[in-house]
Amino acid sequence: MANLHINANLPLYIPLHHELVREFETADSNHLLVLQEVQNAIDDVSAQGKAYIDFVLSDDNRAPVQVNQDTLNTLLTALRQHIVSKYELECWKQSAHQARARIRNQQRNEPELTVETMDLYREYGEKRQFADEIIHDYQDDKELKQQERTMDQVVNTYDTYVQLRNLVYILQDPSNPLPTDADNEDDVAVAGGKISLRDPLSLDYYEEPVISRKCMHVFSRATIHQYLAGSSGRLGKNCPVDGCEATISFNDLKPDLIMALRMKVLRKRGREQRNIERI
Amino acid sequence: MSLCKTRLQEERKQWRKDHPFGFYAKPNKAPDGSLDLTQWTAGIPGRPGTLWADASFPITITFPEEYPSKPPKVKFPSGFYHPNVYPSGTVCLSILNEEQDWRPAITLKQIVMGVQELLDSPNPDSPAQEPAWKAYSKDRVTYEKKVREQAKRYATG
Ligand SMILES: [Zn+2]
Repeated sequence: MANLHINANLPLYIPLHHELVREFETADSNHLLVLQEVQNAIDDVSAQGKAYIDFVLSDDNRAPVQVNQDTLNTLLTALRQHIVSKYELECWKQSAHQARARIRNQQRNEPELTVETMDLYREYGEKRQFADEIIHDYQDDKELKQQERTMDQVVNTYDTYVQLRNLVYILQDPSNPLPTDADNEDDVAVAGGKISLRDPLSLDYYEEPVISRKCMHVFSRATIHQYLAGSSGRLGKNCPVDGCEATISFNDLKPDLIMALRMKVLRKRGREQRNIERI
Repeated sequence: MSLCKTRLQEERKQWRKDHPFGFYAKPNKAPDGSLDLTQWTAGIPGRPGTLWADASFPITITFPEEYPSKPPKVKFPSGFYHPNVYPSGTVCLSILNEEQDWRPAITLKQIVMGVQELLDSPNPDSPAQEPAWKAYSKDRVTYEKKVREQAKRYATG
């Protein structure tokens, strides 16, 4: 009788079953749904944040309002968590996409696991399973992305987050520099440690402030548009601020919501002042 | 309201609120008695301790319609003795030149202080008149004498 030797050890690496590959393909659409959910959550908290700022600055509050630090912290924490989730989902999406392509390729070249192919897979030894591959990719991608931009930089691209975070300082004094401004003092119009609330073109208080992405100089929308109107489109013009080397065009301008917040606080203070004088 | 007009009203407000010591600046009156914000008369004090001290030199400042995109024109009386002043009295200064260092954010205060600085620190690379430039570069004794004589004519106090 032949000595039938049966190796009962399972291989350390097992190929992904065809059926599962198909399921894996559809995971992408689920992911989009989740991303949409997170975006909705960000929008919701942002709307609450805006409503809170409006409440603080509304005329229903005759006297200067005491900001509720707990409310503010709750809003900030929630917003930050959602933004971080969105960021991580986006990293995940990117690496899952790459991993999927690789697994699909790999799977095409691998025979299905049967008793006959078992030995082949035993020889593979300890190859990484597909799930490990994705996690590995994801961690690599995330690390790379965070080298480009820290999480603080990411949350600071959300205007409502920045407004909420700085509300207390601006309420104290609308021309207060913000804590983050200390890092790039050269880029900010600071006069005696204070931020100028006046448009450098008209010298009047800002109206619909816009900021140049190139040099962070701030202008009133109407005056900078008038200044740039004389320029030939894309080429733009010298920044109106003396000493600034930037060339700016319409495309470099975006609304400056922090300066807008400063102006709202300034106007509310003006109204409060008049109320006090009337009394 | 035009940017030029808004800006000039703000310049006037801010000048009245605060301006550098010894300087004056005010818009001219139009024939009908109203203020003409595009034409100003100003006085530049010579810096203490210089040949120009103890005098106030009159200038006119004319703002074009395109101000502040374009710079104002600054003039001393015609025949003013300075290497960088044209015979017409027009001041040759880089911050007043659109092709050079003019920027719309430069304020009236910066302009008058720039002119004050120019008085005692002429730029030998941009001659605007023969007599003062020649004397300044070749005959400093004559130059200083002429400057002192001129300062006497505009003496203050
Ligand atoms: Zn700039």
